[in-house]
Amino acid sequence: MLTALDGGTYYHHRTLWELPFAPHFDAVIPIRAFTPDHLDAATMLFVPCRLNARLLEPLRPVLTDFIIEGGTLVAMGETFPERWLPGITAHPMETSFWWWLEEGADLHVRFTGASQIADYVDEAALAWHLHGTYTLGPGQRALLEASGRPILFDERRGNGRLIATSLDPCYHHGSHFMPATTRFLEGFLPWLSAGAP
Amino acid sequence: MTRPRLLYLNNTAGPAPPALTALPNLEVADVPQYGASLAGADIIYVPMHADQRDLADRGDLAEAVETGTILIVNGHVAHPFHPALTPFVPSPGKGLAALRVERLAPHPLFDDVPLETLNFTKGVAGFYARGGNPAPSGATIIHTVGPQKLTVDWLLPHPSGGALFVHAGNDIIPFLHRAGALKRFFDRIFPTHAHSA
Repeated sequence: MLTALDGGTYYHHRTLWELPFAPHFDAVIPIRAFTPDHLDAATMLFVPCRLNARLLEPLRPVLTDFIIEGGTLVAMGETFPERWLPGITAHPMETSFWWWLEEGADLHVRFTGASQIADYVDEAALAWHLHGTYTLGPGQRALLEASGRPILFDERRGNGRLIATSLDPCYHHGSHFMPATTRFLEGFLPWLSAGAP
Repeated sequence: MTRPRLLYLNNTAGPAPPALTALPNLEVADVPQYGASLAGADIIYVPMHADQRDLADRGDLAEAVETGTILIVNGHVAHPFHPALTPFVPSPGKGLAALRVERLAPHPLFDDVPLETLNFTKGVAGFYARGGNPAPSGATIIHTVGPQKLTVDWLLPHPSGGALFVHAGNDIIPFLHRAGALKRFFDRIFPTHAHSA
């Protein structure tokens, strides 16, 4: 069961409640109404792009336990999971919003081959903006890299799993801005629904 | 003379924009959105990242406008939190024509703000607006976008001296700041002489 938190922003609304992606989410919980009970039935918790990290910081014990006890937590871009989960080393970067104006420009975002995500997501849909990279700790493996630096990784923790990315497709899709992000979600969400193989 | 007090309803992990807090003609209160007291605010600024569901649930923004407050709304309306707001309509079609911002008539709030500043950010279109929040009757429409002339910026005055200013796009502060027009915008949207009577 895929449960999403909803920060009440317009881009969360478009991503989580409107077609084409609403059917991917079995439950959508407004962040102000969230209680730990909401995780009882969840196998995967989706924290959408740019959900305010200040609201997640008080949930640190609950979210840590959710993973340890067998849940999969998916932290999307600009939610700053390094502030509300242990064991994440993130490096924010200055974002170029204009990189593609140069002919032949490339953000060098590539699959690592460590998962089957390339069977779901089109490589041409990987590049819009970069917001940061990670230094991986023990047990963490890169699934996507930009110029060789991790931007999507996963880790087995206890009986569960953490998946985190610095990419922010929900924000852009939800803002009607940058069509690659819609194409990314067209592959990424089915990948999650399949258990993120 | 006391400066108008602007309440910045912050729903991010970062501070209000320095370009705003540095303005000499405002007293800016950068406060977390949830539970923020509206008392004493001359201007309420709702950023694009606001939790609109929370604003709709609290239900007191209309009353603020009716008692003389200027309400500035950014972003796409998903959860109407003022009776004059209805959901965002994206500009249909692709390319520059769909994203072309036009000024219906000169307006004091945008004196000396070149349309090109709104249409292009370092040569990239679409940052300012990608659709409109429909304007109610009685509103002064300032900017539209695309061939359907969807309403991007509009101002709805209230007999109390309050007003609703709506910008259907990314936060308006950086655009005005780049044009050197941010201070003047607030001088004009809150004409203190009208309130000192």
